[in-house]
Amino acid sequence: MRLTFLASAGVVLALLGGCSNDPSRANVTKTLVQGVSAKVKKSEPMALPTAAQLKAAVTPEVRAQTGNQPLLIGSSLRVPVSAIMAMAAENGDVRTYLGTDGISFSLRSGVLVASRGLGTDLMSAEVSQVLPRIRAGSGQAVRAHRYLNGENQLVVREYRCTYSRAGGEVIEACSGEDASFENRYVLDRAGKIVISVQWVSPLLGSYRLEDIG
Amino acid sequence: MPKTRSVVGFAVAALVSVHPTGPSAQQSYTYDSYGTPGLIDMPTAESAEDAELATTFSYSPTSTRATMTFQILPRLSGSFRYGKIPNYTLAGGPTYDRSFDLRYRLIDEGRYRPAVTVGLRDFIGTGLYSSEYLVATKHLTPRLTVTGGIGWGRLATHGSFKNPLSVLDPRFNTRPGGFTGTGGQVELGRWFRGQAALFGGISYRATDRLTLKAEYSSDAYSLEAIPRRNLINPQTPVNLGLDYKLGKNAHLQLAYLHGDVFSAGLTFVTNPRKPVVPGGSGSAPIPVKPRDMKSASALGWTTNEPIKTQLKAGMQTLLANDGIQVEAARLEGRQVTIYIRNGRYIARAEAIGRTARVLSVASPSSVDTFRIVPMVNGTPTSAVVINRDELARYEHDPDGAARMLESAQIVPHRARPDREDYLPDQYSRLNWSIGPYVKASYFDPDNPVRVDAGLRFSGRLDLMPGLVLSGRVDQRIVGNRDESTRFSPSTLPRVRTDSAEYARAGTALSHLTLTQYFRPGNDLYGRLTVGYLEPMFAGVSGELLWKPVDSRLAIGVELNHVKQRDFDQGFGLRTYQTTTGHVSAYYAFGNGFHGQVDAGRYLAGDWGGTFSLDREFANGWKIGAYATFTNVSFKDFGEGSFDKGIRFEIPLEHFLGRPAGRTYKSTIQPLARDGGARLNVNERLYDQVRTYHEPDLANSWGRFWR
Repeated sequence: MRLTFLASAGVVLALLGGCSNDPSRANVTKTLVQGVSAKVKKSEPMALPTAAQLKAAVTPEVRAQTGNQPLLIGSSLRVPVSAIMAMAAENGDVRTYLGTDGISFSLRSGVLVASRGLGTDLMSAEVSQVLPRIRAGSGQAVRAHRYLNGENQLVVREYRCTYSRAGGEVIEACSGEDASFENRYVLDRAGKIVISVQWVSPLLGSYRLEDIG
Repeated sequence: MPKTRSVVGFAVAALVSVHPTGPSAQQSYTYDSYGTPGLIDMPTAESAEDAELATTFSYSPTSTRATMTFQILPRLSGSFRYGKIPNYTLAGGPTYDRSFDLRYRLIDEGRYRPAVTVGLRDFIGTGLYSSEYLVATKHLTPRLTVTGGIGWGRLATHGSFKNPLSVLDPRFNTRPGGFTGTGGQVELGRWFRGQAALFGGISYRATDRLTLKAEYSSDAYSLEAIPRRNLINPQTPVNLGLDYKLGKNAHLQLAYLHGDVFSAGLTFVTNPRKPVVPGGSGSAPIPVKPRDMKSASALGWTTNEPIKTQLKAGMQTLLANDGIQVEAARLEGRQVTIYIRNGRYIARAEAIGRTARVLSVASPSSVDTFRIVPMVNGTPTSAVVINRDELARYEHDPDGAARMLESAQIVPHRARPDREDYLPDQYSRLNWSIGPYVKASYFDPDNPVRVDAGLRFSGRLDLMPGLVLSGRVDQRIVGNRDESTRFSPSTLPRVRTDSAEYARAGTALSHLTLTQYFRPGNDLYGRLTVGYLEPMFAGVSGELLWKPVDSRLAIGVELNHVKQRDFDQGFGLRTYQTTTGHVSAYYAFGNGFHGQVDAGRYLAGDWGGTFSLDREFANGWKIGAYATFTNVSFKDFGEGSFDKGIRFEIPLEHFLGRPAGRTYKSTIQPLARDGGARLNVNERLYDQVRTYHEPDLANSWGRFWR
């Protein structure tokens, strides 16, 4: 009994790893503490800002702080989390928005093609057929997503999608071997996607993405 | 026992009323008391999920066992078991037993066809559990399975009959007893011989958590039931049990054995292929910044040293956020060469990818090419050459990882950076850490698991590129490893059997070494280490490795002259000294398997070879086994006959979910003897170099864009 306790306490301590001046090691303890505190906090109701509150908080001063870059508000539909993200790079027609918490979304003309920093991220998406169908609000398309598996290999998932209009939104209903999902897009008069709900991965579910310019 | 009868009755009713179905997609197997997929004591034909690693602790009045089972291949699994049978010896003391199993699934389950598996239980060693079996299992419904099999050896001690194999050769009728020499050898001459017996059973997954099992056992517990031992008194060949899934990775087993005793077990499973977060939840990288082509011809900055210094500092700051250190950088008009040190990303491609993206942000527009040189111990390992415009083109390409791998060149890079290219704070550089440690020693019959815990002080001073002074002191605070009084007699020089003496030191200098790393040729790597090399030996160690960047094969030569250290783990030395060394061949087979052969002279002066085979996963997991054969006879080697073991390397990232760089390494050596013992010098070259070479670097390339 004494031994078992000692061993388990020891393993926890060994994992914690003490202190060090090595920068590549520093994040282990922090991650563990975060992981534990996240588990503890899970059940408590959290007063997180909603997308609407965040939008209201975007004053000219806030914009100036992010270098007046275009902003995006991302909200998970799975957990009550919203964040303001600023455009960090524009590569061709893909804009990558980076949040302060190490999360990024990349949108090709408003269609999500990558996420990072969430875990089980969307590594890339083939959406060349998707965009014209969203603009038309009708028809069918195939999209291909790539995900990393547990052995760091990319796995391709294909989804067949049909497009329709309902109440000023374009609805993209997709189904594939492992998942089915529905994305929604609100376009402005110029045909630009301004608000959307887009599916990222089976574990992450969908995110509401609002382009606030 | 009316309850039991109703379970069996229900199962039989279900058996008649259902149609055969194909194998269920959901996991239906559970682990038995021997820690392999099975019923209670009897095996089934089911295999665990590929690469599953299961640790089972089981207890009954007849034995206490700990078993580790690894699904080596989808069809093949191997187990190592350590068990205690109480009241075993004539004097009434317990016996401790190490055993190995192998199982191979010959036939997959089909719509009507059962799965068929052949198994060897305890096929090396003294053979207390030694048995062989051929077993078939069929799912009648996704929840109900039925198993039937034929066993030999211990699995033919109840209800046995003439061996059907005797029609092939009458020799199958007799099973030689005992074990060969000092144990630890493959007892080939015994397999499938002697009487045979039938066994069988059913398992019913009543709920998603609860599985009920009943079996007809062909194990009479003859060794345990004799009056002198009186551990069990079998009343019936029927065993009844259940498996309850406690959580995602833990199962509890309870059983009532032979109408006489109860048993309990706990199984913990993990799978290297299934980290908590596939792809990891490490923070987002800096996105690629396509260069401004309008200023791409401007080269004025190349003569402006202050701007260059600023650019280098910018790269350093941005990469430090990603846990990557910049040792040196050379900025030229069309090319940036950056020398990085990566302690965080086991998926080396991710470190390369993050560095390339930072360079796209921090390099002047005129630069066309990024040359990224990963450094280990101040020495270049290779260079990854990336075309800047293709980096931008493939960032959001749906097949961007494959295209980038095709576009990137992984080339040899031998030269250290020029003096003026080093960043100012890199040399000399002191790294230190203070933290807890745990050390365990196993298999001492007086106390099978002994543990020490204390504080570990580590320090490392990089004096110059490639010249490293490194040391470690462990201070024990609590533990019982020093209480071992067991003396292992040995006919060889006592190079490892005095481990209990060394464990007594409260303050232990684990190592204190000065090492020079160098590159004597294009594909050559060198190391020269002097000092206190490991807890038991001090001296000089030299190594030379040949490893071309694109080669699956590497060859190494190592030569050491060492003197044994004092038991007190201080600076003193004992009289024994020896010259030891090996020629090693390393080969990456592909499909995740890696082999190594070392031939040479071992610490006790014996000559021979070590054969190792590991299954390696691109996420950093390694699970393997090795065996060493030398000119020391099995008799002189002592218990176990030759040195063998199982080894693991487990990345912390698997459990943390984000890149953490560190791995936990462990070798389980059932019997540490003096024959076939190698020096444990730190920082052997091969593992440092290979991860930045093909094929390793390409194996994790999926994370280039992570």
